Amino acid sequence: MEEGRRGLPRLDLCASRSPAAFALSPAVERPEDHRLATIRLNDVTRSFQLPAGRLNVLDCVTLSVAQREVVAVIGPNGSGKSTLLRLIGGLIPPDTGTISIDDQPVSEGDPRVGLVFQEPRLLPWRRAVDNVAFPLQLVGMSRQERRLRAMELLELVGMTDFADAYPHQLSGGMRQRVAIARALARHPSVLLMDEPFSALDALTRERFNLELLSLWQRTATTIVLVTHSIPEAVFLADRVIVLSPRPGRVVAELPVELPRPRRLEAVDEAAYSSIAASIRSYLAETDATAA
Amino acid sequence: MRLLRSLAPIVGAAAVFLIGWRLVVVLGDYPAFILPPPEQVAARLARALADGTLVPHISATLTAVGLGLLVGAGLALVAGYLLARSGLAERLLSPYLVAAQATPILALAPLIALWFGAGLASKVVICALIVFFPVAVATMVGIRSVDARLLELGRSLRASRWQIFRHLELPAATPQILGGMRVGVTLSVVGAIVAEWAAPGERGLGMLVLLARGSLFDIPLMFATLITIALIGVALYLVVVVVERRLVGAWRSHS
Repeated sequence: MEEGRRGLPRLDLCASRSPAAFALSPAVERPEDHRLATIRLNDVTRSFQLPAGRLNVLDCVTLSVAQREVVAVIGPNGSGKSTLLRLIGGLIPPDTGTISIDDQPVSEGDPRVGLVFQEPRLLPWRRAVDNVAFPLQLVGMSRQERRLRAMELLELVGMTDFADAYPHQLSGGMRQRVAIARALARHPSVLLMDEPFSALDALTRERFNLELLSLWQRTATTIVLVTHSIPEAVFLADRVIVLSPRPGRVVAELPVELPRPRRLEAVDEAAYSSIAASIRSYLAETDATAA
Repeated sequence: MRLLRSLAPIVGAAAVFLIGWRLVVVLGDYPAFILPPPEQVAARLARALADGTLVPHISATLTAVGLGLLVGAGLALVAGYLLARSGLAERLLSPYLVAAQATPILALAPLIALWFGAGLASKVVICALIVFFPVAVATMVGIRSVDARLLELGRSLRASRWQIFRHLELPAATPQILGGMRVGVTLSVVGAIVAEWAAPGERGLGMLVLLARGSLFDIPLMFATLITIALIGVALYLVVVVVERRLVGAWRSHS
């Protein structure tokens, strides 16, 4: 549906830039990959018009994320990680290429998607419970019903005691919990998280990672998470996607075949370290090609 | 106890003002037709209230103020929103708005009186005109300063334009809008008095000031009227403060 926009033979354009061409990508052939992929990006390119000229942010990104998979996207600053999430969430359209969830193209404000931003983005004039209920209010759910659902969600993120607090009365971590609860309000099948824990201190961050995994186990969501942290990516994800510097391309897809449920104490084990080391080497390599 | 403590400075300041006033009268030895002492004004105010002189004038002025506020602030909210959200509206409207604001209302009032007559209409128009500008500007600034990230959140939740206005823009801009209302309500009283002078009718506190100084030559009554006007302004201002405390007091951190 997007091909007509420029009339470019986009498959040909993108073919030479797939990860294989870099000979960086390991063989990612796992049985799971043959299941129905929930999210599929096909040759997605996106640029922005700036006063100084056109800025290519993402270049021929092809990617699929299976149902219930947790995928971490990692890359240097400006590699288009946030843009990638906005595209999947339907907040911005791609220049070329297609993005679909369960073979249905995404649209702006797609109800199948829950978004967690880098900052909590709570409405300061609403109490925690009313912030969580906000997406439900917008779809016209009755006051009583949405309050009930919001309280359930607050319980899920451990914030029941703070239901009536205003955002300015909560700590940064608590606000992010409320934001996660809000993202889950409409039962999304996909949860997109843009560096959700980057503002938290290291200890809180570890605890949040653990809680996110338990949340993931209790909800039927596929998670795509953008992060700057290699340990976080390895700890959370089934697969880590490494993006190159701008324009962002997929340079590696690394499966993290570690048993679940994952434990914080296991992070120091050799299996984790070796995956972390290979992510680091890919990142270093993209850095070198950029320089 | 807490109420007493918070009221104490206000009562104290009022006492200092009254004592100062009394001292000026005594030391300057002014006659009552130049500066009546406070107790004489208070007595005249009480009598004017008791014998029903004041009430019709108060209600006439309050009617003009109320309707003027309703029309002026109502239009200002709409205009402020348009100015904030439409570049075209801003380019087209803002020169006229600024020009209208730069022309003193005193100079415009006779013209408006000519067009709308001596009745309520001209008073409401003048009052609305003077209220319009501060509220419109405050609304524009308030709507413009709504966090773009919240608007993105709204879009990500597929909020309609109306929902974005009702649930995001309006509450986010409320503190600024109320700031404009603080200015607006005090100016509305000025507008009503000016209107009563420019389009003299039978009633109104502005009329009473003219009457008391002119044909009645009752200077204590004039002072009593001036005090009534000031008190109406203070009361309206306090109403805005109370509304503000109710609407935004809880969620705005005072840190």
